[in-house]
Amino acid sequence: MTEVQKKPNQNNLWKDAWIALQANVSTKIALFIMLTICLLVAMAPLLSPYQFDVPDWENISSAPSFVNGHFFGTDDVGRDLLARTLYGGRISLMVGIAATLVSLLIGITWGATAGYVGGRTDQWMMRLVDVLYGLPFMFFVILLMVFFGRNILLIFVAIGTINWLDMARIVRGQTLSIKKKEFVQAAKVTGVTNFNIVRRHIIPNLLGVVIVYVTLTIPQVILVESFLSFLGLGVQEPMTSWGALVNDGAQSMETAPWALIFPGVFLALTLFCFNFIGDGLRDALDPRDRNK
Amino acid sequence: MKAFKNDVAPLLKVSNLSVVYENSRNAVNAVHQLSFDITEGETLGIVGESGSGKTQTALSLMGLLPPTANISGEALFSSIDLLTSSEKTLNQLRGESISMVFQDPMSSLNPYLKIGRQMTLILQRHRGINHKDALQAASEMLDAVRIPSARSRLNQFPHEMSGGMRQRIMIATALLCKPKLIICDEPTTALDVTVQAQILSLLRELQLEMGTAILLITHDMGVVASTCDRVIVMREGLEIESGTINQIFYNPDKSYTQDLLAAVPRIDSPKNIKEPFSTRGNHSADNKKNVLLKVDGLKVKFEITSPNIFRPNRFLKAIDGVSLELGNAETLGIVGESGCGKSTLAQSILKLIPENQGRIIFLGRDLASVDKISMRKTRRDMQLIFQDPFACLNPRMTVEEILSEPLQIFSPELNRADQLKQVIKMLLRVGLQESHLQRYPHEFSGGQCQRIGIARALISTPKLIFCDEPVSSLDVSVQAQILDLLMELQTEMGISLIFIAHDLAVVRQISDRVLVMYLGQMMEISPSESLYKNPQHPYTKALISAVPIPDPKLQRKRTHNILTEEIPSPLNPPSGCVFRTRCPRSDSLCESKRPELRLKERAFVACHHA
Repeated sequence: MTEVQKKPNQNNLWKDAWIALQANVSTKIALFIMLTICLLVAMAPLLSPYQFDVPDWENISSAPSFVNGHFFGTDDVGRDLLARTLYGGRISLMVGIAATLVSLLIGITWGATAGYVGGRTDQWMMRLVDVLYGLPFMFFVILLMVFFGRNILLIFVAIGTINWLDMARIVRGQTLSIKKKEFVQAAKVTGVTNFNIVRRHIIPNLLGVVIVYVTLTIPQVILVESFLSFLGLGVQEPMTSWGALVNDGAQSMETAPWALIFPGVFLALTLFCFNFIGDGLRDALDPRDRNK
Repeated sequence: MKAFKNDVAPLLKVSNLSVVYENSRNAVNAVHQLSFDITEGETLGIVGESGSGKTQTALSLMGLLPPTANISGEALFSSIDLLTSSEKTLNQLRGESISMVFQDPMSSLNPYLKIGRQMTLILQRHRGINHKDALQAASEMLDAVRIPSARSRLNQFPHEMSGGMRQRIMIATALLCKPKLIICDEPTTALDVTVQAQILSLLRELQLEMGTAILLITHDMGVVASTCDRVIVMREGLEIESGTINQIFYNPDKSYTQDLLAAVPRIDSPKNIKEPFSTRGNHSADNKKNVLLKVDGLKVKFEITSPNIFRPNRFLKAIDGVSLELGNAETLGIVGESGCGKSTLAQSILKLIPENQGRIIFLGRDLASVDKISMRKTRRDMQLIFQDPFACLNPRMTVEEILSEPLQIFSPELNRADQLKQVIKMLLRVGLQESHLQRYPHEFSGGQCQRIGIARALISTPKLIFCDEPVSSLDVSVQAQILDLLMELQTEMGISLIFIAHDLAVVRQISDRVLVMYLGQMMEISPSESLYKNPQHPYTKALISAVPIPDPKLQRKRTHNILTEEIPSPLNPPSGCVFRTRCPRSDSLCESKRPELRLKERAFVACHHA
């Protein structure tokens, strides 16, 4: 054992997880692709010679071509698809990540508190979740639109507020089983405060399930956004998103397949990457899986 | 013991059985070149510690091993090789000629099927008889395993029955087709000693009646001594030694067998009690006035929510009037069957359960008046060691984090380097190494994990430690090491221990005084030696006689006063003396009046007749 005295570190779990993550090849590739996509999307104006919202009247529905500089082709009103795919990626990734973060934050806090405190508090907190579940999602979005006008931020809020409900339920269920474990009792006997028990003993042990759920949530959110856009409640033309692009592309699939293929590939790649990263993270965060 | 002839053709002949698990990196020999045979009506015991391959052997005979297992060798059962036969042939044999009883009666019955249905399924499969006849046969079999009102039991679900009852049903199910061989894999390990005694005697009687051969797999030398004709000792997949029961127990060849036998704590003789024990006994006598913990009339009730909203909720009296005192550096053992409130007692003293009546005075302070924040400080002096060494450690924390957590709370003035120094000191003290600091619990064995648990409890230098079944999930050899460690640390640091266990032999080894509990009440509390040599309460007597002694001749000569009745429901305890429903000496006085604890010789006994 050449385990040299490492310097004492509070975040051992995360540090060890990071080391384990680097040993996982598929996760590393996924991370690399994801970073590349993020970079491309961030540098959209530099990469594309065209604007995303200005029609090129000479090249309507042009196939991908190096000659006219529309590398991904154009759509049926002559807008450059490379620019649109990259700009659309900004919206999709932002919605996906922001809404998931919101649902993570509220969901874990809410679920872990309800599960850990238990009793009447748990009853009230979870009944509130049930009531919110009862609200029809579309109705909720339309209501928001009516009150606040059309705004991309509202989509984040709407999706986030609905998504944390699932997260809270999952986290609560896990917390209920974890809080009965003996190490939680040991922590109580040691005089650890309730806040620290939840933070140090319960949440780290929930992460496996939570991460798997997150990797399912991000794709789901991106798809929900495209659905909203399709109904005209999401992003508004000329702004676009991957979901909206795929939707448009699907309609002209026979005549202009490139309008479906390029945004589709980006969307699919992203979803794949999130899945691999999620898998890798879950294994890395569980010490028992690390040494396999 | 039954005599058996060697010239009879064996019922099952196993030769060169090997089970190997291979992965890309290495191969594990779970069982290696094992050969044995069983004749009709014989009981063969396979003993060994965990990982010895005993269960693997049983599962390979039943064809229950996962497809990843590489099985070789031969197991001839009436000229059919069990290891190579098709699933179809095996299905003909399983349940019909060979059946199995598993360790955990709680999980080996299907919770969604009524008992009757589970039993008739087998008869319908193998005998092809109609449902009505099958029910009749099932109810006869339940009678045979001494289940009262068998007919009505068939309409019950498994959860409506106690563990002992379920294990009887498992045995009845196994016996339904009158098989020639029953494989019992740790059939009594999950049960209380009293129930264990019932099940073992039942197995013996049934064997005499039906002439079934039994392959008994166990880690418990006492169980072996009371049931087996021949024994195979296994270790790490290898057969260490085999022979008749007397050979193995009185004349073992191999040192491993000798060690194994020596490590078993015996209820009948205190000879493996360590030296410091007696000196500590005097020590605690000096400190008699120095009372560390005083519990007075403690009662704990749990409210059971009634499923019917028009009925009032009922109360389960988990602890019903317990009073005790504990001196400095004294060890109090608490024994009793499961559900008697021994763990609840520890938890309520530790204030992990809020509701209680009565007074708990610890270090001169009434814990009822202590608020939440100062309770946290009080906990520094009261720690807990758990039963399950794996579940009690957070799987996502390193050993260093686990051990420094109490220090961060109780000694926040220490800087990180000093904390680390203390952690290392403690780690070395419990017999682990500094290089273990950055490892996670799953990288350790059960015994090592229990050491970490002990280190965590001791690092805040407490005055009182509750040990809740600290060794019951460990192998005997490891058990002995952990007990030694606890006793050493106790003498070294002058800690008082409250040692909760269902294993009376272990309790005898470590305790100065022993408290016997039944249905939340105190039955007897007396100094360890007098309790075991001269038990006063009928319940204590029954408990002690139920513990099997790892000495076949002695064990088979002992008179057993087996408790036949079931434990009454704590929701509805008997009037007067709670033990009267199972007591051989109960009379009308016991029914009307609850006996008070009174002094008899050196013991406090709650019995009208003691």
